[in-house]
Amino acid sequence: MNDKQALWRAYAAEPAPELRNAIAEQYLHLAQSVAKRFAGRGVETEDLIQVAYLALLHAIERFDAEKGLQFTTFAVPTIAGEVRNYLRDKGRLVRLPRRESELLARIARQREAFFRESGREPSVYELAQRLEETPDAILSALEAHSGLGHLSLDAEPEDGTLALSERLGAEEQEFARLEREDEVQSMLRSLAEPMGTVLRARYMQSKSQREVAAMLGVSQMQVSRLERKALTLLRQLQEEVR
Amino acid sequence: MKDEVFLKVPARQPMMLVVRMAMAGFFAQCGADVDTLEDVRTACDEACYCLMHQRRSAETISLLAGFDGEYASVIFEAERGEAAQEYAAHDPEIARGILSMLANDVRIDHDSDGPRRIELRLCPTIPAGGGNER
Repeated sequence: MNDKQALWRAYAAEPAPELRNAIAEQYLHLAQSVAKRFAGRGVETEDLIQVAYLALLHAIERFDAEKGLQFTTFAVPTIAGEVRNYLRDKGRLVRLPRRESELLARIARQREAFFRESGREPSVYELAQRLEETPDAILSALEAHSGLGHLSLDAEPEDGTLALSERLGAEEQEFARLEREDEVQSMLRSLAEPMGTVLRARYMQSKSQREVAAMLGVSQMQVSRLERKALTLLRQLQEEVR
Repeated sequence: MKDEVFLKVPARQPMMLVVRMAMAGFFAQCGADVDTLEDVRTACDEACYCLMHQRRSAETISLLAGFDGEYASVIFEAERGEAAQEYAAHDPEIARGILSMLANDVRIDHDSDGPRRIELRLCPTIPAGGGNER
């Protein structure tokens, strides 16, 4: 008879908490393995593992070895069910639209930071790694964003935070550093369209990114991206002139 | 008329993202809520992992998803190569235990090399859990 079998026999004879806990230690890896299958749903994995451990204890208390089932066959659905119920209950405490809009804002900031560092857009996997999210979550958030109309971008969220349009596409400060208007005009003429138009509209006509987007018939994110690229090119041009 | 989607992917872990997104998209069309979509993703991972980690390695995983207006079914099937796996096969009973909490009905078909076909049936608009396993 091995250790596990001996523990089960002892527990069947006398269901003491110490024996139950000793049995649980034999199956902790199972509870952890089941919990990790439900990771990435907006709840800390450590919390899910704790729920799984409790579910394991419940499974041990309810298991009837006389029925001829293996304990793992009985325990796995019990643990999976309790973890899943915990996720469904916990998920209702955080409104999904708010989570997604927060993730979209984080994606926008990270895209900008990445572009500044590397001069290119990040892949979904690179974003996922930096934001410590799953690729699925990134894709789902981007998919949700692509379904938003122009009006929805401007809608005020119920929790009083900034509208998405105000959080996507940051204002660029560096244009203010350019010294002379004629130098600026010359450099703007050297930019391929519509980058020149974007910069003129933004900094000489004081139009918002939203207004420029409407003027050009593109999204605000595209205007932000064009603005960013244009300023990078201008910076390079400035360096060459010096 | 029954809506059906067929997908065949190389049996590699990075491809599971394609499977998850495709099935989540399909079930979203069937009216599944966000919680159910998360269950569908977890179920896809579990089913594919089980089929990919058996005595002989899988070369491709194919999925056939259908919706009859009330229930959606997904059939996962592995096409195996000749190479033997270096690691221990995934216990299909663990997969069954997890899938039974995510789908209303679970069927796992075996051959001499282990599970080869997994069929899940679930109602997209009613939470699963504690369903029938075959």
